[in-house]
Order: sequence, then C-alpha cells, then structure tokens
Amino acid sequence: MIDLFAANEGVIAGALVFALLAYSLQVALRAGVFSFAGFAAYGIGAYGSGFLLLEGWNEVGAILVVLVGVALLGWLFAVLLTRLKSLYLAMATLALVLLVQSAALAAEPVTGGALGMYGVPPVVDTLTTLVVTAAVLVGVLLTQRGRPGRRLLALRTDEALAEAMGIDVRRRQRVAFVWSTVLGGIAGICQLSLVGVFTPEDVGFPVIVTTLTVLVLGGTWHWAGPIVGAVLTAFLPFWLAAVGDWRPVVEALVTVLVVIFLPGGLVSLVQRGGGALRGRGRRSKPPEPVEPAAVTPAEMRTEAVR
Amino acid sequence: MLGQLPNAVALASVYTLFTLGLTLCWGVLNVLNLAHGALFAASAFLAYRLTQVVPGIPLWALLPIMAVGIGLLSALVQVLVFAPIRARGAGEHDVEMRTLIAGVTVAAAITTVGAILTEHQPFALPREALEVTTFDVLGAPVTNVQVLLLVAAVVLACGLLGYVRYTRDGRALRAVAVDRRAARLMGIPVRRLEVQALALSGALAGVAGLFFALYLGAGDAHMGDTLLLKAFAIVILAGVGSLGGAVVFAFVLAFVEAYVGYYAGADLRDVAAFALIIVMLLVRPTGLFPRAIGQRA
Repeated sequence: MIDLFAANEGVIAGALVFALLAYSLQVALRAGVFSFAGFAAYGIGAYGSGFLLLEGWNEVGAILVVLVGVALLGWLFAVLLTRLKSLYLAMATLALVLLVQSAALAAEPVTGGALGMYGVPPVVDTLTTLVVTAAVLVGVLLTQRGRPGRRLLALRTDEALAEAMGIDVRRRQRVAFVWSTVLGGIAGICQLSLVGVFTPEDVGFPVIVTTLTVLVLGGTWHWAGPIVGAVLTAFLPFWLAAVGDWRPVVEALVTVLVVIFLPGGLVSLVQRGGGALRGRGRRSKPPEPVEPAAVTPAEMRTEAVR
Repeated sequence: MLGQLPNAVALASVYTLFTLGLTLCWGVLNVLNLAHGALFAASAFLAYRLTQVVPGIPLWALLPIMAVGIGLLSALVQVLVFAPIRARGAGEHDVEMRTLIAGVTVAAAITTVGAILTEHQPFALPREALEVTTFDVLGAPVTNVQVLLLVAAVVLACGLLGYVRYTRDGRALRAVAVDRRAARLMGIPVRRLEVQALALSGALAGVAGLFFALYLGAGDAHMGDTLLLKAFAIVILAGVGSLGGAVVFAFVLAFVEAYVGYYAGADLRDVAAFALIIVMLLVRPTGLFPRAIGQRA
C-alpha cells in the first residue's frame, strides 16, 4: 500500500487537486448555484500563496491570509453575483476566471507572466492534501444527509418552493458560493505546492473542462462523485496510453456519453447495481433535481434576475 | 485615429457573424452552444488542411465548402448530443446545465483535433487562397479582406434577419422559442427546425472563422475561446434573442476594443473587456434592450 502510494505519488497528487476543484464546483451546484468562481479562487489561491511565501512569510500565516482573503473575495462576489441566475451566473463567473487569467498574464513582475510562478517553497505534501480532501469529503457527506441534505435538495429543485418552506435561499446560496471559492483557493495552494509551478494556462478552459469531466464522470450530486471521477480521470491516461494525443477526444466522448445516458454519473451505476444485489425494491438513486414542469423560455427570461 | 477604422470595422464584422450564430441558438432556441467557438476555429484549421491537400484552392471555392462543412458539423452536434440531452432532460435547468457541459466537452474535442491537425502550431492560410491587396480610402489603408468581411457580414446579417422574420420556417422557429410544446401541437416539426437553426448557426461560424484567419493572417486551434465569451457579452448587452441589437453591439465592442488596444495595449484590452462584461451582467442582466419573448429575433 505504502509502495503503491510512493510509486504513484505524482498522479495521486494531481487527482487530489482535481477532486478538490470538483468539490468546489459541486458545493455550489448542490445549492443550485452554477458558478465557476472556484476556478478564479484557484488562480488567486495559487498566486496569492506563492507571492506571500516568496516574500518570506511563514507557511501557516501565508495559508491563513490567502484563505481568509479568498473567502472575503468570495463573499464579495457572492453578494454581487448571486443576483444572477443559471447561465448568466455561469458566464459571469467564467468571465471572472478569464479575468484572473489575463491579469496573471499582464502582471508579469508578480506572477512571472506566461512562464509562470516557480521557486516557491512547498507548504503541503501529497499526504496533507489527501487529509484535506478527506476532510472535505466528510463535510460534503455530512451535508448530504438529514436536514441539510433535504434543504440543499429543495434549493436546487425549486427555489420558490424552498423559499416557501422557510429556507433563506439567498443566504444559503451565498454560503455555498463562499465555500466553493474557499475550496478553489485550497486547491490552488495545493497545486502550486505539489507541482512547484503555476502558469496562467492553469487558470482557463482546459482546467474547467477537466474538472467538469471529473464531476460528471463520478456523479454530479453524490458526495463520492468527485473522488471517483478524479481517480478515474487520473488513471485513465495509463489505460488510454494507446490513444496518445487523442486522449482529450476520448475523454470528451466518454463525458458526452455519460452526460446523455447517465446523469447521475458512475456512482449512480454502482448504487443501482448495489440496490439490485440487495434484492430490495428500494430505490437508491442519488437525489437528482427533478423539476415537475419544464420552465418555458418566457419564464426563463424573467428568471435572469431574482 | 482614422487608420484604426478599417480594423475596427473588420473586427466588428467578425463579431457580428459569430454572435448572430450564437444568439440564433440561444435567444431563439434556448440552446447556449459552447461549442460555437470551437466550430469557428474548426473552419480555420480545416480550411488550412484543405489548402494543404488541394494546393491553390481559391477563396471562392473555400468559402462555400467551409460554410456547408461547419454547418453540417454543427447540425451533427445537435443531432448526436444536444437533442438526446433534451429528450432525456428532467427539466429546463437540468437540460441547460447538461447542454452547457456537453458543449464545453465537444469544444474540447474539436479543439484537440485541431491542435493535432495543425501540430500545435499557429498556422497561416496560403497566399494563393486570396492575394491580399491594399488600397487607400480617404487616407486609410484598406485591404480587400476587410472589404469582403464587411460585405459578408452585411449580406448574411440581412439574410438571417429576413429568414427569421419573414419566412415560414423562421416564423415557426420563433414559435418554438415561445413555447416548444404548443409549437409541436400546432404541427411544427420542432426537431427539424432545431437542426436547421444549428446548421445555419454553424455556417455563420464557418464563414466567420475562415475570414478571421485570413484577416489576421494566422490562426490557431484555440482562436475561438475568447471570442465565445465576447460574443456572449454582446448577446447579453443586446438583450438575448435580439438579432439587430447583436449587430449594433458587435460594432460597439469592436470599436472600443480596437481603440483601447491601440492606445492602452493588448494586455489591458482583454482585462478591460472581461471586467466590462462582469459589470454589465451585474447592472443589466437582461440587456440594454430587453424584449418580450414573442418579439425576439
């Protein structure tokens, strides 16, 4: 076990960072917030921690300052941006990610420009990242069951209904948004520490695409989804060694198939299989947002603003 | 000052062609096709490969090939990906999110193919495709590419507007936008119209991509990425579904960009553009000229 860990440490580290990013996306999605702001926080976390550490800050101080800063920024964005709904929010936060990317390219003295930031003393190792990811997993698991779980289900299924049930929709969604950015920030700190280099290319479309793949493959709504997806995506290259350069195409193909035919991801497959094995009639599908009636485009437009 | 004018107009023409395709799918059909940028880039890199396979192929042959080819590719994405997602969707939000994810993924696949075909290098279309000539208009240097671009943008924008407003299919398309179910009950072939709209949108991306590569003199597999977000901003600014507004704001954004880029540098231009997009989304999420759904297009 220890040998296996040592032999694959690089792959495991990469998988953990993507798992953290996928959790960042999932935490927001579960509350009905379609936000890519976690990726902006990912860039800010990496560059921020790198900057402070290069300035000679001690490790704990730098990490704390970066996380508090990311959380504050997240709160600010949440207040400003959660007025927007669904696609509008997704695109506004995507603009935020690309803004961080172009700012990183432009601010060469601090970020190293296109060549990236390197030479930063590492603050976390793979084992620490594993512990952090496990903690996040437990946190997500705890909020998937019982009262918080039902609250989240209501939030992403029907906001009006949630509101009527006495849930403070805006506050809950803001909290989810802030958690999403904090997790993104943590992922950024880990990435810089584990890889040693961070370039503007690390904040952009490819990372978002890979994270979406991780989440969709694993299971968008299930606590185990990000981990399952991250492990699969990390070890897929070894199984797909034959396809070489065409790997992203194969990944895309698999993702599209899963998006179309298996909305609950691979986790839902296991769950369905498990339910059948137990031989009970109990349905153990993960809670999917089932909307009773399709929203017409006319309603959509008014939904742009809440 | 005047010297930047032809550049701004050419950029505006590219934005117009690109944005019209995007807004046709989103505003009219409620499909935000994030693969649109990749289709745009596909037009450029496929044209580049074609000029390698068939040396000396002229622009007048290349243009219809790319328009039809990318149109078909776009229709294929609709048939194979977006339509099945809608058929299996649990509700509008669910469909929206899965369409978005699938679009990003398809875009990644197309871009990867492009990167492999072009060996991860920027490429230039050969001179034989179109001999670039420059002439003077009121002291400003204007190239024939810029003129062709403007003509293509004007002709295709008018054509699309006419199609959506006055033809039988166009009116049916708008009926689908208002209420898909009611439209189907009225006997409108919803699926066929959706495929048709995606094909038209793809054809526009095909024309835009080819011209953009010609105009810049170079292209790469990722050339559609930033354009997609800018087009999104234009659609929002114009009000989702407003084809006329999209044309107006394509010109506004292009002029702002051309002049900010000229006076303040290219780095700041993109930072400013993305900041502007966020601010605009916050202030007027439904656009400056929001329209009721029935009046769209």
